[in-house]
Amino acid sequence: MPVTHPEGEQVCLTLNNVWFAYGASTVLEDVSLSIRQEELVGIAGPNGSGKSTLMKIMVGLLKPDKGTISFTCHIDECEGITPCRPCIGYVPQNPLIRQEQFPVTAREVVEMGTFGQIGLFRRMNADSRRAVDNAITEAGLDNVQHELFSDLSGGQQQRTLIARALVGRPHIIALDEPTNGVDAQSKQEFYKLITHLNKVHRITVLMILHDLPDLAAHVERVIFLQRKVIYDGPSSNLNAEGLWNLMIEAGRST
Amino acid sequence: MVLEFLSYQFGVRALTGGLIVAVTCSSLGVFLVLRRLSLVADGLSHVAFGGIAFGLFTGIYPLYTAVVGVILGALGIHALGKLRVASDAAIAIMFAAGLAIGIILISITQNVAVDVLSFLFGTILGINQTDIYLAAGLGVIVVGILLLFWKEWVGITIDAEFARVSGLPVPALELVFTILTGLTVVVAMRLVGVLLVSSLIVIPASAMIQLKMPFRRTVLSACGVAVFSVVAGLQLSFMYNLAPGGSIVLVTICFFSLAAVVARVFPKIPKKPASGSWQHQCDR
Repeated sequence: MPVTHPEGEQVCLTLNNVWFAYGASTVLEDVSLSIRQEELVGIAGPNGSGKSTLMKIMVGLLKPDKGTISFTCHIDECEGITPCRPCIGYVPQNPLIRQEQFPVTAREVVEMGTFGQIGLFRRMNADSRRAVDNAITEAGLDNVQHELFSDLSGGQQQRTLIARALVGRPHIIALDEPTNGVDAQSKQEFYKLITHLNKVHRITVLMILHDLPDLAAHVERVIFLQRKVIYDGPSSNLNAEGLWNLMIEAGRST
Repeated sequence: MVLEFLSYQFGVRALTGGLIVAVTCSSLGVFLVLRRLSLVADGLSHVAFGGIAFGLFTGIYPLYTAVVGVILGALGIHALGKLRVASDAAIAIMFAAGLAIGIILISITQNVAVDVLSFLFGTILGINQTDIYLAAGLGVIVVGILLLFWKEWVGITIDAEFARVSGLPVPALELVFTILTGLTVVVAMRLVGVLLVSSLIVIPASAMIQLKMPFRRTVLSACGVAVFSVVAGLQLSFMYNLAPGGSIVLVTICFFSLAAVVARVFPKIPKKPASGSWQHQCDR
């Protein structure tokens, strides 16, 4: 069934009847959902439930086998482009740069966030350098911006990747398991940051989370996935125990 | 006498060709090593061997046919990737295909044994003016495209997924990069030979990556190592009558070992920040 949108709600991303398979193994079955502007959405589900695949489709890394995905962004440069790249900031789960001995500084990683908007051939200009400076300062990375990314702590690496995603001023930020390998204090700072970005900067947040109590505590809407959407609703309707039950049931049915 | 070989015409040609190869190979090498594609150079060098054999068979200048061969090889690796063949398997398939074609063509071509050996083991002291012009032309193309798309190469090296989400044309850039690798292989092949060609690409880059410097400095220092290795290798070869290709590669290996010792004896200790939380500066 195609998604219908209640009147007055500003939808920024819509998936209609999306299917995806890796070879013979179907990962997503008839997924339809819409993301409204300024929502704080958590995507959950057991391992292999299609969460990362769904996010990769949402950010344009994968094309669905069937179904459609559409963006509605209200900035000029996005018109006619699907997915509307300037609108989306992406924080991947485990990029290659997390490896030891990758000779890239935190600043060089953040600079990468400007490349898509600068365009081919062109070099970084004063504006893009200023945007990088601001993102680094906002992320509290001034003191370590010239250190190698791989020498930073898990929390600092996470802040660097988020700064990279935000430097292009996206309207949506998608994070794939952002709290993996992050200590408890950094995790609290991370959730504070996400709430701030969502409430103050009005950025739509999509994130895959494994930690169910965190999911219940820090997001407004939960999409629970097991190849298809099993639950899509407010997190306030489900306590952590309820989500656990969903996950256990989903695990049994596979 | 230091650099006595420069008093000979062939020595000047060897140094000129060597310096072109050193800069081209090492600058590309850092990107290849970091993207875990070191074997692409090895695979394409064997594809180039097939191209050389085709040149010897048809009577066309072999380095020209090698250029065509590596471009076809790069397209082949890319096409196999699209068919979801794993990248190392795709490289191995092209490697085997190039070698097989080369062996068959050489077996049916008369009196080419000496030529084949010169391409397999390199003849830097025997390179002619045409080789220099071809190396210079290809070197300018490779380094020029590398500089022109510098930020794009850095982007796909740091994080190809993020680069794609940002809107960079990653598959097209990857294809161009594989072709550049093939052209670099052809540039270097005359010097150190098919069998050692990947060493000039991989070893200076791997040596300098160990020293944990920022990206640009790593590329520049890898170029420095390669240039010094070519000069020192040629000098050693002239002084002790050694094979120049092998001497150059052994000097690069000495640099790699030295860098490994330095990186472990004097490890770089990262600074810890005095404060490290988000500043929450609002400007929207």
